[in-house]
Amino acid sequence: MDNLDYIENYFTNTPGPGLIREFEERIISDPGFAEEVAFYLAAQDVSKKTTF
Amino acid sequence: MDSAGSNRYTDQELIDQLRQSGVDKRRSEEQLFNRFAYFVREGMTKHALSEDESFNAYSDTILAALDNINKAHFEARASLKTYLYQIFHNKCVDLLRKRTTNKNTVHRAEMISDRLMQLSDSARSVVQTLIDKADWNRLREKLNELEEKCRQILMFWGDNYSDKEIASFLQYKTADVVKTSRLRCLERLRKLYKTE
Repeated sequence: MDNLDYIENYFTNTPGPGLIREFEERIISDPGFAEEVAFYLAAQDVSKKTTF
Repeated sequence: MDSAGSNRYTDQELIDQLRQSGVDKRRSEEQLFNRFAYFVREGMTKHALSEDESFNAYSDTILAALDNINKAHFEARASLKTYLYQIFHNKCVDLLRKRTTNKNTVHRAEMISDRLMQLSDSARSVVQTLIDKADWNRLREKLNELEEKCRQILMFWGDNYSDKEIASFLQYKTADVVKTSRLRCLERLRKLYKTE
């Protein structure tokens, strides 16, 4: 959940240069983190296309 | 006698009358409709629906409740008020989502690509590859396996509503509570998606 919060903050706020560098380096070097970023974006897309 | 001077049935008496036929049934249907008609106002204040939308949600609620009572699907485990309010609340939420889906489809369709464009080429390429490999049907199936409240939160989030708006729609105390619940639901979805 901590990573999801971190990922959300990155996409919904305006990250500074330090955070941008750190975030992108993690995506490239940490496959688990990259998977969480992809999941976050895919989950939001699926949620919007699903009906009750 | 109630304040209007008419007989006011208990829940059980009303249910018994609704399962009859003829004049008694019609009178009890009218009483059911009038008894909770104040929900229409709540639909307008709590769910930001128009009067027409809220009235339609309320009418549909009564029809659904009558159908369930007639088919004996209503087991009176909750009071009529609680039972009807739950149906009404869900119908309001349905209306809100339909309204959003019609209004913001184009904007939201661009959300993933907009967000990917926030990343540098190399980071974007890694995430795009993973998104392309995602099993969308499985993700959708797992979303539908979540409990109703979680699904509702995530669907409003998917529709790009703020946590403050979701708090108002789903009657959470604060936006912070919504955010915490939403991220927990998202984590639950991720675990379901990853677990075979």
